[in-house]
Amino acid sequence: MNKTKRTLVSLIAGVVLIGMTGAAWAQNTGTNLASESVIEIIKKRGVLRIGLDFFVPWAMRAKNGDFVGFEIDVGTRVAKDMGVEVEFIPTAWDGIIPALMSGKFDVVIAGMSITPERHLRINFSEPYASSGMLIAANSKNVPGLTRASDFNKPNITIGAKRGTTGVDSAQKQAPLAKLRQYDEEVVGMQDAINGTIDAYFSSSPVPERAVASSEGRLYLPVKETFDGSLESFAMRKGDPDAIVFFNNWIRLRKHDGWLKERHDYWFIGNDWSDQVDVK
Amino acid sequence: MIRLENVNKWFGDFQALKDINFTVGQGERVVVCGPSGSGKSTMIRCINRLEEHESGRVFVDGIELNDDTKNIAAVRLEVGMVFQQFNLFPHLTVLENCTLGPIQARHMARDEADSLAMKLLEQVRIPEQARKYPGQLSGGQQQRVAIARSLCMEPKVMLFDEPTSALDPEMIKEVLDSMIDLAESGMTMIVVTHEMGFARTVADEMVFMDEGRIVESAPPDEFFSAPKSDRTKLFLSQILSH
Amino acid sequence: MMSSRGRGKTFRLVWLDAVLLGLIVVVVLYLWRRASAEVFYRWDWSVVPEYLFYQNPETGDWRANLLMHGIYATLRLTFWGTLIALIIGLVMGCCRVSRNLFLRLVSRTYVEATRNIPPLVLIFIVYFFVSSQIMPLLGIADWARQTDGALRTMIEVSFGPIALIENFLSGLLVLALFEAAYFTEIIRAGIQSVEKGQWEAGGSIGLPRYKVMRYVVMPQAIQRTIPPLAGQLISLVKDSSMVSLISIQDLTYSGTQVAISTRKVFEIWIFIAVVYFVICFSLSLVSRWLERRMSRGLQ
Repeated sequence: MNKTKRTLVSLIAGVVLIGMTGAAWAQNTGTNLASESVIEIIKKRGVLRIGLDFFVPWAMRAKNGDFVGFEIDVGTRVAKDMGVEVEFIPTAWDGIIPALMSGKFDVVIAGMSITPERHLRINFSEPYASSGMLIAANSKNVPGLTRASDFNKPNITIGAKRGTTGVDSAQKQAPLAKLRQYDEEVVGMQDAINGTIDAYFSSSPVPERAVASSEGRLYLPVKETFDGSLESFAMRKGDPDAIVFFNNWIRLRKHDGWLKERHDYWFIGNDWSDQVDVK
Repeated sequence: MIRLENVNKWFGDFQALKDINFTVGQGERVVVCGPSGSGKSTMIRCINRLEEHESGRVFVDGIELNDDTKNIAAVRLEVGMVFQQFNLFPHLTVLENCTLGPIQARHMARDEADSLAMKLLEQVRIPEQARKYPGQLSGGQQQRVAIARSLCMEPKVMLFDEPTSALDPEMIKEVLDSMIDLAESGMTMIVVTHEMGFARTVADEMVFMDEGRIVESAPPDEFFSAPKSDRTKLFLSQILSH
Repeated sequence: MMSSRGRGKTFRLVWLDAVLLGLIVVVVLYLWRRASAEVFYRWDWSVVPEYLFYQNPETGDWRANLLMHGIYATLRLTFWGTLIALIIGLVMGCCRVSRNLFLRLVSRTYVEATRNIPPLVLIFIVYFFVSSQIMPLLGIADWARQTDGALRTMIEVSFGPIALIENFLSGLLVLALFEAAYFTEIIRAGIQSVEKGQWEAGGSIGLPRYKVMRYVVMPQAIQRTIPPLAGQLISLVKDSSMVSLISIQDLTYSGTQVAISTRKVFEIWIFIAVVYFVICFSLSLVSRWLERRMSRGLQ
């Protein structure tokens, strides 16, 4: 068979393959534009499946292997209020939205901040928490700074976790500085402590906790949180019932103070640390 | 037994076989000689379809060789071949090399195949090597195994493609002796070779090829003492001088 | 190797060895000192056994904890992934050299598509389209859920908790398909490296093409490809961490979870590195043993 014919056939085969995949993919997300709401599905199934990834203190693993954290409390309470069991499905951050879109779980309760880009693919409920940005800065490298804009210099290196609002904030507040993106916060924070980078942008309470345990190597240049973000439940598009349901649940729990009480317990207090920390 | 009618073959633009007409009767021993590139190997490889002829017809024991795979399979069961490079299967023992064909192609039982193989290994005088691997044998021994391997298929015709050209001189004799034994047992043989002493002993017919054509064909006495064509004379003078 | 030649040569090698060794020691010590000075970190190795096995304070029972589950998952992925990938690779490898044009096209398309797309993208395409559609269709999870007794235990040991089996199998399929593309090319190259004479000899003793492949060519091809196959297999072990994107708690992801929760990054990751090393090194030893065994005939 001559060369042009072969190339042509291969090309056709490739196009067909990709076309099929694309069509099926579209159909896949389309089927989930529920013929029925996810609320019904959860009720029928008797289990609420929640996707999350690990951030301190949103979701962590206790020494006995259990899930613990603010998200865990929230998710467990939602399930209890719905009268169903709860199941947590940890998924690496990069795969969380695709996993949600393809039906691996019903809702994402993972401290996910509302952003317009994300909103193009999934729906958000109204916010159930809000976090502000803070900076943990290296005391030796960049001492005495007091504002986020102080870091806006080309000879300063800032770290933040990839795919989070920390990156957005760093780019907004200090576009001239060098930005290093990390897959894990712990690594970025360790670099900040070591002085490999000069500062790390992250949501409260991560910077405060890092500063507290750094024995002075880190300090908090900015006292008040800035660039606040709003965290919500994330769910698939095309499901108005789910949005209404979760919105009202959140409103109820804000109204009776439960959400605030839990938020303070995890984010401000430290009583829970013996469940995870190893002294 | 074997008949080639007006066979032509090209490799790209180069014509390797030009109007070959060649017949071998049962029990005949034919030696094919000629300068390199003359098409000798190509011709005999057309007989077991290792090469495909492009025009003309090839018959083996009445079966015509064409694209029909059943025909090809049938022919290959009847035609054995011994290669210049031995082509033994290095990962199998000598015995296994010999029994692979009978077991897998003739569906013979293992015991039967083993005893057949041992018998033939005795015939080529190396029964004691049965459990060894080809890599452990000398060149002459390997080629004799190759002969035994082909004989295990109980072919009607044996083709030899320069069987001693890759051997050290001291091992050529043992292989030629096995071939002479084979000839004396009445096997139909077509041998491509430069070994003229062997040819004189064994051949019923000498065939000289040059540039893709059969130039001359005659019984050995006539061939060696009174060659007709000038090219034959030239070739013989070159090859017989050393 | 060297000793037979002469005193001069032996003496020179020994001297060179000592110098190199000394240099390495110096460099390592220097890096260690610099690292300790620059890096502020509280070491606490108790994190590793704590998250490997957990003892219930009330009942005193021991059970496997996160890290151990992670090790199981990675071992399962490695074992089954290799098996499936090898089978696919063998079949596709044969297709690549087949006389049939359609088979050649299909296998070529498969190889090129898989190798030239980044693993992340591949996972999303294959997993979210293929696996999570096909698996429910096959009803494997439902079937597994209603087994019991010895069969159920076997399933759980081989594939993990029944509740997660669909997910695990989907991830396994992706991993196997991904690695098989590389296996295919390695095997194809192995087949093509067997001299034409072997094909001719096999044909001339009356064997049909597929039998020549099976008894003559493939055994030789495999023996030659054991080193690159082993290398690819070790890659598979390391690539298996990609399954964290689809919620499979392999060793890397489990370890990361623990590292985040306890902030003891170094201890966890050093431990994980050691486990991966042990797994990969064992595989490498097995492959070397296989190599020796298979080459006994072909010295």
